[in-house]
Formats: sequence, structure tokens, C-alpha cells
Amino acid sequence: MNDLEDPFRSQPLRPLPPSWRAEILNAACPESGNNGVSPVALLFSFIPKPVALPLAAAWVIIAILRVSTPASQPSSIAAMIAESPRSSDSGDQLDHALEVRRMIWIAWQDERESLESMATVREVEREPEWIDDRRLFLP
Amino acid sequence: MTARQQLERIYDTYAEVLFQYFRARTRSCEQARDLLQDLFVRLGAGSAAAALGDGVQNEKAWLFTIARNLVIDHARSADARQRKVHALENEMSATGFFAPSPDPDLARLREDLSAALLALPEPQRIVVYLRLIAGLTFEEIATAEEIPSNTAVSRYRYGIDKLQAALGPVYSEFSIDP
Repeated sequence: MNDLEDPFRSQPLRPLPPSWRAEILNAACPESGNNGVSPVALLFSFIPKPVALPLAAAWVIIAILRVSTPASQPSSIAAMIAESPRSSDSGDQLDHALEVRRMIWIAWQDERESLESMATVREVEREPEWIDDRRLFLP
Repeated sequence: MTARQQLERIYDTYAEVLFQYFRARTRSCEQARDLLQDLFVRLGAGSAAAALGDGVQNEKAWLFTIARNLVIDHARSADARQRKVHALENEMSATGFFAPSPDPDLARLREDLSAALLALPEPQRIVVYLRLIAGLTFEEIATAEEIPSNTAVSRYRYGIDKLQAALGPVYSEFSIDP
């Protein structure tokens, strides 16, 4: 039996084409990740990619605008209420409430007067046009 | 050792014998090439380094077990069956298992050995291949092929008898002694 087994065992197998090695190993395990990558190249991989840069810039602009823009001024009524003196005694709470109500009333009156005055000014500004129109139709 | 290095070592050690195993199974160089790549893709996906580190006792038998399962999976697809029929017609007389030789007598011997091996029925061909060329023991063959050891031994005996019958008339040294 050995006469037959020995020839089989002693023959070298046909070698595979050398190109197969790289093809098969790359298909099985692509050379990515940390294998063979230098630390510097790994560091560069953490730099934001071009796609992310516009988004990062937009966030920076939003942050700068938010920090540099002053907060809006409180309205006149709210400012008056906030600046009105407050009594510490609980017995004076009614007086304080009445005082606040009075101040709101005054502020509202001021607001109404200013609106009325603005309306009057607009009417005065329109009057010459009305006169001119009347002259055209009533010779 | 990284997974890539582990795969490179496995390739350098076993690629040829695995390729010829696939070829003995399918009788097709094309399918054997595909199966060899599939095997390494599976090893890469399953992290061969981790598997081998987790106590694979017999690396060669483990690889041939994976290879056998791969052949079975591959044979189940209709595409593979169709290609196999085509390959049987075209590649029966294609290149043999062994390296070509400048010596004409040796080259002829290697061609005849390959042809005789390829002519065996598949169960015997696989066991003879694993025993004579891959160098597995009967226990390892039984593990890889998921058959009892006695079955492996009997298939081997039948296969050797047929090889002797095929090669004996040509090579007197292979003749069965009276």
C-alpha cells in the first residue's frame, strides 16, 4: 500500500497564482482600521471633513451673534412695574397693588394719547391732497 | 497578531491544499477559486484570530470542516449546480492537483495521479485527498467530514483499491502483489 501512498504524498501541490493572495486577503480583511496606519495619519482622520466644515462655520456664526447681540429692552409698563418700590410689610400689599394699577392706568393713557396724536398727524398730512382733489372736481 | 496577519499566515500555510480540496470537491477551478475566497471572507468576518485564540485545537481539521460546510452551502444554490454541470464537461482534463515538472516522466506521473484521483467517486475521492495530500488523520477526516472514523477508513480503502486498479497497468510499482 505504501507503494501507492508515497508518490501521492511526495508530489508538491500546484502553486496558486501570486495575485490571488492579495485579492483574497483584501476581500477577506481590507487593510483598514489601525492595521498599518501611522499615528499621524490616524490623527488626520479626526480633522473635520469638508462636508462638515460649513455646518461647523454656521454654528460658530450663530454663537457669535448670540453673544454679541444685546438683550431686548423690557416694555415700558413692565419696566415701570419692575422699578416700582415694593413694600416689605404684608399690610402694605394692597397699597402696592393699587399703586401698580395706577401706574398701569397712567401708562395706558400715555399710550392712547400718543396713538391719537399720531392719527391726527396723519390726517393733517393727508388734508392738502383732499383739497387738491376737491379743486379738480369742483371748479 | 492581528486578524489580517492571522489570515495571511493561514493563507500561506493552507491556501494550496484548501484550493485543491475545493477542486477535488467541485472538479472546477473556477468554483474552487470562489470557494477559497469565500472561506477567507468568512474567516475574516468571523475574526479568525479570535476563533483561533478561543481554543481551536486542530487548526487544519477546523479549516477543512469550514471548507466542507462552505461546499455544501455553495452546492445548494441553483447557480452553483448549473455551473458544476458545465465545469464537469470542461475541466475533467484540466490542470491537475500537482505542480508541473520539467521532467516529462514526472510530469506524466503527476498527471496520471491527478486523473486517477479525480476519477474516484466523490466520497472516496475526498477521503483519499484529505488523507494522502492534506495529511489528515482518520480522526481528523471524520471530524471534518462529519462521518464515523470507520466510514472514513473504509472509504479510503475502497479509494486506494480503485487507484491501484487504475494505475497498476501503467506503473508496475503500483500493481497489487499477487
